[in-house]
Amino acid sequence: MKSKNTFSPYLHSLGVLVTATLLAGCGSDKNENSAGNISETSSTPSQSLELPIKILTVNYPLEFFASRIAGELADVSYPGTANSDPAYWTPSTEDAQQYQQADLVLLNGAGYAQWLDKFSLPRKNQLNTGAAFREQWIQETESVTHSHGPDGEHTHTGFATTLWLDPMQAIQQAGAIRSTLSRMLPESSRTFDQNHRELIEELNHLDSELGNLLAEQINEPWLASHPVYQYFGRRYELNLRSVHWEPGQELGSSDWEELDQILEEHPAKWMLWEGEPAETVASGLKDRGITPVVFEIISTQSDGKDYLESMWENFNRLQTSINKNKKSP
Amino acid sequence: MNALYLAWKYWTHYRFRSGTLTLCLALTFCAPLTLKWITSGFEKSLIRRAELTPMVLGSPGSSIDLTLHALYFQTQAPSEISYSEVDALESHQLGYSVPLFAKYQARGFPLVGTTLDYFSQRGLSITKGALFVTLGDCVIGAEVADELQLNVGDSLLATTENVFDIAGAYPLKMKIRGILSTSGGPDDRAVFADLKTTWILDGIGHGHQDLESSPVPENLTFSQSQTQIVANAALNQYTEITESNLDSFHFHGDMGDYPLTAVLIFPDNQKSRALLLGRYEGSETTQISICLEEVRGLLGMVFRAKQFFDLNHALFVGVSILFLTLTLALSWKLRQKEFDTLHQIGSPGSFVIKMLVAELVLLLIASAVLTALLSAALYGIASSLLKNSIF
Repeated sequence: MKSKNTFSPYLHSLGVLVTATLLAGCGSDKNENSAGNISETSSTPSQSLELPIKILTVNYPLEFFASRIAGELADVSYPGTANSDPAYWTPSTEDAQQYQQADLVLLNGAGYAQWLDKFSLPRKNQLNTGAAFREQWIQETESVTHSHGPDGEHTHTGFATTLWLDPMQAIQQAGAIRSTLSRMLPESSRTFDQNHRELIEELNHLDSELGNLLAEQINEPWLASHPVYQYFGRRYELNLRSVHWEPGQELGSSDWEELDQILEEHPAKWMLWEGEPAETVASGLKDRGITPVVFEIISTQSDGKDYLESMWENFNRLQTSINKNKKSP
Repeated sequence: MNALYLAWKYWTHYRFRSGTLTLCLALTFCAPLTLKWITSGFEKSLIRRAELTPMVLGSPGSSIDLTLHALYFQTQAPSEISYSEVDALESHQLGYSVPLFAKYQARGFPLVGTTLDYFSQRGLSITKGALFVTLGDCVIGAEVADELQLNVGDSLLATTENVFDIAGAYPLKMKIRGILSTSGGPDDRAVFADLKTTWILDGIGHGHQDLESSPVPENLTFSQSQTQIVANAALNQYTEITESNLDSFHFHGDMGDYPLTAVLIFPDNQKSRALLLGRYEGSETTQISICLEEVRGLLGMVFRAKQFFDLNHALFVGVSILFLTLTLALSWKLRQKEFDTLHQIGSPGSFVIKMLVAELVLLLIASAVLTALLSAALYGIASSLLKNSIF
């Protein structure tokens, strides 16, 4: 009996302890549901950029603008070949993957570079340099399928694409590039601003000289061998009409008939050409009182000349031709 | 003599009794523990996904449907919005957006049309191959690759909504360009392609025989004038995009009008978030859904249901513990002689207590180990079942 009395209180306490411990254990998760203090701050794409940053463009003018603004802080390139029109060039898979991996891809806008519809690029790396003046893009009304060079047949539809032939639009494109670079590399924004200012001065000077040269040509009829001078014509208020002839191409009688019909209502004295026309074509034009003037569109770099050098060469050819025409009766 | 040694001897001598007690305790705790793990994992995964996607833009309708559609691609989006909404969003310059068009499927898995930004935003990486490069390329989730036994370079057929829709677009044979690393989320069970590829499935873009550059066979011509050729249904439309026919693919209409089912929005900061919410407040054509709020609302419903199960489990565990206490108390009563003997051979009163505590500790340790093992096994089975059936 004695022993019973010795252990009974302990056994009772132990039983209570076991019960309490086990019950406490199973009630521990009562209100551990929703996330409590979850921060609602959003995540933004983080970019850790290594210098020089890699910029790819869809044509040469954008490569030039970006190189001038970024200087040594960016490695800027256009991967297309010099003899292929960037508007109709199609990149290889490797080229496309290079574009995907670039820190920044500069697009022209206005539907330029048709390959963009068929390849995948990250949106956040793209800058549409012409987007800010989208309302000023010129809608093309003509739709003719034709071919030249190694790119096969193509059709001019949608918007006119040679935005950079208007120096004022080139300035806007350069401005978009400067803003984006400053956002990407804020610590270098002063360098970009300085480089941009110098480029703008040169573009303004070019625009002013072209404006002076063509001041007397406002609303005068001009011809273009190809529908690529819409923005240039609009900037300097030329009354411009286009045919679809290629440099070096021989023309058939129907082409001349088409031209003669145009000349009846559009008596132009000059025709802008992307390259030298065939001798027979140049001669046929001169017979009709038309002076062919080569005005390169500079979508790719030729003979190592940069965009401004090529534009000044265009200016000089225009000036020579206009002055010659003034002297001759 | 060591109390623990005696306890161990008792425990091993009465193996069946000890084993039964251990199993009873383990089974009692196993169910609530597993449920807690599952709900906690479910909650964490939902919250994490929602946190990584602060806001979603979509058409008006059920915001929870829109959120689940954008995060898990399972539910149908309330309706479609136009691509111009992405440009409009970005024109505010308050953040960054990723468009989604997840309307179709590929062999039972959701086909998500998006841009490459989706992968960087979600932190998804490629384990084999590369991200999609051209129209017709796709990237598949790790579980899609496992289940369908697919590899880089294989083909995958994307199917349109309704096979009986004779006016609808053709199924598209896509080329697998890459396989994603396992992420443990819904991206593992999805197929990704460029938005433009999914728009082709929607009939907005297509590739077909060239009618402009070559003489048109008579059997293809419905009508022909100097400016227009109308082909009949015999015109061969490509159902696979290859290097040779890639150039023939084109889209009709303004890209701004092309459809999207949702746009993921990543505002720059809280201020941008507030400004965006303000700008879209009252919009009749779109709605912005805040993912975390929607998911918390959903979890609130889940946890209200869970509270009922918790109460049920608490009662069950309570009853089991009372039974166990009774069993132990009776057992200790039956062992009174044994305790008396120990006392008579010189053991102090506290020794018996120590021995009983040691027995209890052994029982609890064994039960805890068995509970953990059983719960882990149950959790593994349940979570894979839930993953496949819910998200």
